Amino acid sequence: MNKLHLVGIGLLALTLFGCRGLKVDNARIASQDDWVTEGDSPLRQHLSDVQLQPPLQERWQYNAGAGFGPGSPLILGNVVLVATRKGELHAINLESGKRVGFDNFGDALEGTPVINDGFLYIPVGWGKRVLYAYDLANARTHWTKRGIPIEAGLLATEQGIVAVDTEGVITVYNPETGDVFWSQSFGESVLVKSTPLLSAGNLVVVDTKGHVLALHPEDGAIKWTQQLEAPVYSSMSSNEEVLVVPTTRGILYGLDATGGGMRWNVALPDTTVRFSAPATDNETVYVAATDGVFRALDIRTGAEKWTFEIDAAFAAPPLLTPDVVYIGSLGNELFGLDRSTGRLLWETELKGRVKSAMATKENKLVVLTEPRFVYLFETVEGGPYAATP
Amino acid sequence: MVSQRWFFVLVLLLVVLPVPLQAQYGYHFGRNKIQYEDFDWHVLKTEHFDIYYYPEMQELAENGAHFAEEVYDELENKFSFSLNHRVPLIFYSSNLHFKQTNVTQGFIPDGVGGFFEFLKGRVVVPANGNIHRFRRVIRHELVHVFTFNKLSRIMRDHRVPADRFLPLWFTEGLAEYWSGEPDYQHEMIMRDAVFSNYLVPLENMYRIRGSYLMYKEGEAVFRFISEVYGEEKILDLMDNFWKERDFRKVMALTLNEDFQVVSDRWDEWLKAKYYPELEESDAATLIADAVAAGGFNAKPVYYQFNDGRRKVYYVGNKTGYSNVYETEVDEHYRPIDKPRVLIPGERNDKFEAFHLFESRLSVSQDGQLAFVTKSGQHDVVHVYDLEADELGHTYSFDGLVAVYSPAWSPDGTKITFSSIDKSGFADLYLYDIESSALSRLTNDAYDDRDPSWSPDGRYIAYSSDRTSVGQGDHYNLFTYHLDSGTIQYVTYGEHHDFAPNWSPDGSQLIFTSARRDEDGKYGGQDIWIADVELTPDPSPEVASVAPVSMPLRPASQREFRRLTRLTSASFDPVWTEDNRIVFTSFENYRFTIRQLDGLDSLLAAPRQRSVVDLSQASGKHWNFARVGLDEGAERIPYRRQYNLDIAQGQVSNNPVWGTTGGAAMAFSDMLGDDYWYVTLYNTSQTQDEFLRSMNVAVSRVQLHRRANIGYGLYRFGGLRYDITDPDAATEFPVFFETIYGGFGAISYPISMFRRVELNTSLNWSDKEVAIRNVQREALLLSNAISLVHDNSLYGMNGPMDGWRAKFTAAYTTDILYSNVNYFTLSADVRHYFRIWNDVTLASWGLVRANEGREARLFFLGGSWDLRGHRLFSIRGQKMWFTSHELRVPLLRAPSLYLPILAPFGVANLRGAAFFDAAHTWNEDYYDTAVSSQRRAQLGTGETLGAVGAGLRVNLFGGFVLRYDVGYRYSNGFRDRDDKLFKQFFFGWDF
Repeated sequence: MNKLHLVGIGLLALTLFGCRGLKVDNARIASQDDWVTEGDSPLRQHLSDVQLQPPLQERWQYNAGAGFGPGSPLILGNVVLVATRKGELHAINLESGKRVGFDNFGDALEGTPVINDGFLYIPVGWGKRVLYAYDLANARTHWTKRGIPIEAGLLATEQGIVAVDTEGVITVYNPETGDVFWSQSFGESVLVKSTPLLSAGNLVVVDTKGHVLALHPEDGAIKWTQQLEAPVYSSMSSNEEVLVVPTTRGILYGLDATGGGMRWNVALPDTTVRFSAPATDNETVYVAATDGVFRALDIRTGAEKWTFEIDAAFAAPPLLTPDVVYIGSLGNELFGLDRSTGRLLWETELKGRVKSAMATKENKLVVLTEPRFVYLFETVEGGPYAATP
Repeated sequence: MVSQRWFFVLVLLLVVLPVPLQAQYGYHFGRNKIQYEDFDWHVLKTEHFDIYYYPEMQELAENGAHFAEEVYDELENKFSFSLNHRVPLIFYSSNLHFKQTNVTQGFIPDGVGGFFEFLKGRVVVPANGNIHRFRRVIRHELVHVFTFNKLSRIMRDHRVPADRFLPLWFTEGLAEYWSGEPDYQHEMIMRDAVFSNYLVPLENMYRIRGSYLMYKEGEAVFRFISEVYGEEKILDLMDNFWKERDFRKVMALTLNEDFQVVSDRWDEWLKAKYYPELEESDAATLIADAVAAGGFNAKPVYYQFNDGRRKVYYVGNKTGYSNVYETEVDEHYRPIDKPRVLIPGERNDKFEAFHLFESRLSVSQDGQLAFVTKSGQHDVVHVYDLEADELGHTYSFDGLVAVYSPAWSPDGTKITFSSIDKSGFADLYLYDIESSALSRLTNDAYDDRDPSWSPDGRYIAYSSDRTSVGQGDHYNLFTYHLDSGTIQYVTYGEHHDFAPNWSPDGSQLIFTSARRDEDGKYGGQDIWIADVELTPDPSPEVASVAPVSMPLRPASQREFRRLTRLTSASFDPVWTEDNRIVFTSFENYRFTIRQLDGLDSLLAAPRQRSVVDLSQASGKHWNFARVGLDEGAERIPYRRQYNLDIAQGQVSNNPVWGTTGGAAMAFSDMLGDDYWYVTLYNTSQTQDEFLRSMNVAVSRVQLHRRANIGYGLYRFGGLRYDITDPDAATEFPVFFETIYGGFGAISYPISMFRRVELNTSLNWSDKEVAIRNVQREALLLSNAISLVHDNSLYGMNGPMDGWRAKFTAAYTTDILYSNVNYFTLSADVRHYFRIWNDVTLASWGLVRANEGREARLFFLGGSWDLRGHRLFSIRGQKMWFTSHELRVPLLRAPSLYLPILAPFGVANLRGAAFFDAAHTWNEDYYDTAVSSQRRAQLGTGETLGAVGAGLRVNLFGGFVLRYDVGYRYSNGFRDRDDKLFKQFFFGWDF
């Protein structure tokens, strides 16, 4: 083999593996603005305190090569991390929309990964069934746990990384080593699709049969349980006081976040309606559904505050900013609504359906759409709803 | 046309093979799919749909628009999915119009409720009188639309190739399940499958692929999954489809149980649901004697001849063709002779098709049998004189499309029947034979069916959804008073009361009824009796052809007696003069004609008595909502816009032909009426030859008229391999030819079974046969006319009954140089004689002659015709050929014995013994200047043949694999090859 061959092989390797690996500068320094978990916090509130006033303008589009699950993109520093159903994780420069990193984890990434202290934890629910701990600073796999099918998103707590597999086993892993701190189960093999959350000192998990389980985060001891009358497939949300649980049969539950008692429920006449993951603040729960109605309800009573209705169905959670709530539809549209009245402020047409959660940082909004596009929208200087200091 | 599919093939062949217009394989048989109607298509644009309809059915189209929009919202929830495109819905007002659709090229048999087509995402649905069925089919097809789009999205999301499909039982079962509550037909099939023990387990569903049983079992699977595992698992099954190729594994991982366990649980679930009913039920086979049991049998009527003979008449299908049969019975209604075909159906223009499930027969008191067939563009009523044993008059009615269930008046001078006009609604009509006057008895959106004339001639009893509970797809019985035009309830309730017939004394009505049991599901469809007190008539009046101002009459009660509690279903009971009931029974997945005696004791001790207070029947009218212009829809005339159907490119490399490359594209309009084809390819081997070897063809096929028309232009240049060319070398018939020209083709269907084909082409040809140093230019004009007949009946491996033939005359001439000038005569006749049910003697005779200057050669040889001889090795300008084949069954389902064959769809193993003979000769046959060597090369001048046997088997329902072994004969059968020849062939039997 002569030198020319070696150069050729080198160039080929560069072509094939260029950008392979996910490396993020200053990965271990996450700011308040970063979006490191589904819904931005363990409460899954989908709530940002940064003004993002419409009209928004499209800054870039990125072709991720495959579709997305119901989970959320993540933002760390200047990088957007997006997982696809082809098993790929793309790192995209927030400003330019150019790919800065990429890795393939073999099979579909359905649940949202989580970033914790510079490590990205990635669940692969099918095929290899692996939980990866990926070092973003060094672009290498730190540890793996095999044979664990996880389709729900992950939760990072002080105790460790919480994963709930498709057989209903809840496990907390040591973030550094992957060792198991504790493990708990529903008592039977049940499917879990909803991302766990941490609220009022409880680690809360719900399965697709409507069993809600609140555990002590430190040892997994069961604190309370609640049996709902409908399956739960989407993620919950909480404001520390009320735990809002969406179901697939037209019922939305508001549970007491501390003790699990039933505070209220909203039951629609049409039992085929599926609620998507809600967003919450201290006063209101915002929830969309497949009946094409986006509802704002009093979080303490479940009473309706306002509704916004469209022709197409909703399947994705909304995203709350101080004045505006954003919601994408299965009708290829993104809406910006007045958070207090539900009045339509702005809308734009996208290339495909929105069925994933969104993320925001500074004046930027990241939206995942079918068939395989990542959009970045940002505020327009001087617009009617220009950013306020 | 036939099959328009064959017309396409014909046109494409004309494009590809323009010069030898009568190319040997340039034609096909097939029945004709005829466009009788010139529909004035419009488009109704609603929120999510583009609805294609014609003005005569505007009201139904607006109902359909409402049904589609109504279910769209439901399906968005159920699928958690929105469609991001407008869905084209194409409506027809009747099945007879639906059969003319060009959206699909194939024939649409009776019983097809609608279809969803993938290429353009079109949904095609006919109405045919029953608005509930129309609604349900729309819902069914839109479930398909959502399933298809959702699944495509899931596969693309995961970047998984869309090379796998959901099992058909899944898609059809889901469409049934999400289109409405289980109806009485669902319960009928499932109950019978469980009781008669033919329930096909989940793992073997592929064995009943496409059958009605598969639809209903699939629906039951979804009810089971929803009830046992949860409704959400249905979407989970779709969401997980990308994970495994084997759907059994998808089910196992989704339901979190081994597939076999799921299958067993489903079986147990069904048995637990139905077995408790068995104790209370009677099997029809145990309580009623069979009158006609073989094959399919339905719609019986009875007649006693003047000489005392008794016969039962019915429609049936025992051999593949549908017929009207007669079976002579004794005084105990026991058959005393084999069933005889009285009216042979589906073989000639007069009796194109019977509506087997929908139209009853009727016999007048003097022995006139009235029955309905499709004949051309509409249905007609025929009358057959049973006493004289001869066919009488045929009655057709202007403006009426479909006709069902004729019923004689007692004096035999009038006929009433149910009919559908272009509006798509079913109403009752009365035809006075003597005056030829047709009058309409009802005129509204309700489905009026199964009329029966009372013995006193004053009333017509019939079944209708005009009942005040009719909006829920319920049917009750009514009487129409001929003097006043008033309509009154006979039965009332949330039932399916069908097929009333009067007792001989006119005091009772016998009918079938399906009703919900206490557990909410439909029980068996049983025979009931209603006491009908007609004078005075106390039941409330619900409608009238003329406005009637009289108030509802006082409440009245009517008694009903249930005579049977069958395990499955009964249909069309007839009360005979000697107090017996002749009816159709469905049991063990078979429809048989049975007779029930002991009517007096059944009436005295019925299985159930019920009394209904008819004052509950409010007489309130109902109607479904519509989405029309007032509701925001937009209406525009239909304009053809062409969309790409298929585009295909290809590059190939061949040591003889070199590198060739090209592309083909097809475009068509939404209704499939108009097709454009563009073909472009190049066969040049050097850059200099590029333009010279450019091949271009553009053609158009129009199908919306009765006569199908095709035309096009082409330019071909390059090396041609043409074994029919007399100038080409015998061993290697290749030459360079450049052709410019155009062609036209018209196919005019005389009837479903016959058509005339006219073809013409004009082209300039420059031929260069280098190997024989021939250079020839010509301006060729070719004209041909053909008459085609085909009423053959196909089995799984090929025709098994009927006959088909094609006669052609053609003339080809060089109008510039007279270099070419010949005529063609051809006769091809194939007859299939059914010796026994599954045993057929097939005979084929073929005579052809090309006579004149540069007359082309016909060819023979190969497994398609003259077996045992080399492919196309026998060539001559004149020829005769005959083949006879005895086709016998061996194994209907080989995979039952060798399950390993099951995945290959191996079915219907048959054997054949054959005899082939042929002779070809040329005009210079006796010319001593032509060497015997050349004659030997062409195989002319001697009678050749083959004798042998073979096996045929169908693969995947579409391919027939044939294997023949035999001896080859030559020299007038005086010489036989020592060795057996063996041949494989893919293709239908001739």
